[in-house]
Amino acid sequence: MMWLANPTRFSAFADAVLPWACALATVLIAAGLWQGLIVAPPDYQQGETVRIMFIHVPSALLGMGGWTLMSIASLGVLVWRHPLADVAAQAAAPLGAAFTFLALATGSIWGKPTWGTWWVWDGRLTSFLILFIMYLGVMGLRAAIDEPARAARLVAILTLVGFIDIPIIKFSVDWWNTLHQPASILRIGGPSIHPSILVPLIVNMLGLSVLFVTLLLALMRTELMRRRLRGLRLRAAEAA
Amino acid sequence: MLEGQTAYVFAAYAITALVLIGLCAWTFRTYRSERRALAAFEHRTGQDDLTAAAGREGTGT
Repeated sequence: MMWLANPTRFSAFADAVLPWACALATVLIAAGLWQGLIVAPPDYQQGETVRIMFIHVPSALLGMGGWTLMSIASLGVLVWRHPLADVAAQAAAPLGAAFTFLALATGSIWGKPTWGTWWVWDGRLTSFLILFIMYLGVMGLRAAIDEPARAARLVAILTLVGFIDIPIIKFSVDWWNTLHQPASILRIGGPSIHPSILVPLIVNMLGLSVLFVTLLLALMRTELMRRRLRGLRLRAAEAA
Repeated sequence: MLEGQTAYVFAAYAITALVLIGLCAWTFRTYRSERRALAAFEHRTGQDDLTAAAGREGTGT
């Protein structure tokens, strides 16, 4: 994997992988839709609304995964000062924000018929809303600072500080008495979901995860191009 | 007209589709715009060789 740390090699790798990743994401998402909307039976308690879980759960995991990825990249920025680490952090932010928004929106739509309310200020929902606001915060901070190296450092610090929210989201259902149900997939003792619901969930999770990686590679490639152009402009200005 | 639980399911999938299609379109549009800007700059200043050299040296950023 270390050879990918070179921006030029990374761009070549992304060019080669992206068409295949796009195709794989399309196939998996189509299979997920078929599994989730046609094959999966209605739940005995939730009825048809269980189908919302097939997009809500993967979106939530990718929202949290996006911030975790940004936190690892932020370590790369602060400790090793690697340019690709900042590119990865920058590319992951809008993706994580989009999936976090989807988790909040689909969760709210699921909550109305199931709980009888669109929103409650319980631990899980509130900590997830904070995650969404933090995504907007890091994107805003980066956009507000003109000097790229300074922006990268400050965004990395904010990202690492904000990582505290990830374990809070995960364990909020255990620490506090929440309306949100406890963990049913990532739990000790294995998933507590029937296979007829678990299989579509896994297929959708795979599909949306591959889409996330595909868009991440594409955005990283674009950002490398933008930085290369900036460098060329600077060199041209210095030479003139 | 969709009723009851089906309407909620439809709303959730519709919002997801809109957001994801928008995300894909934005990603593609920014890539195309940056690629054009880079190509135009290189063409204007004749720096294609410089870019290639930077690529070989691994100083692409």
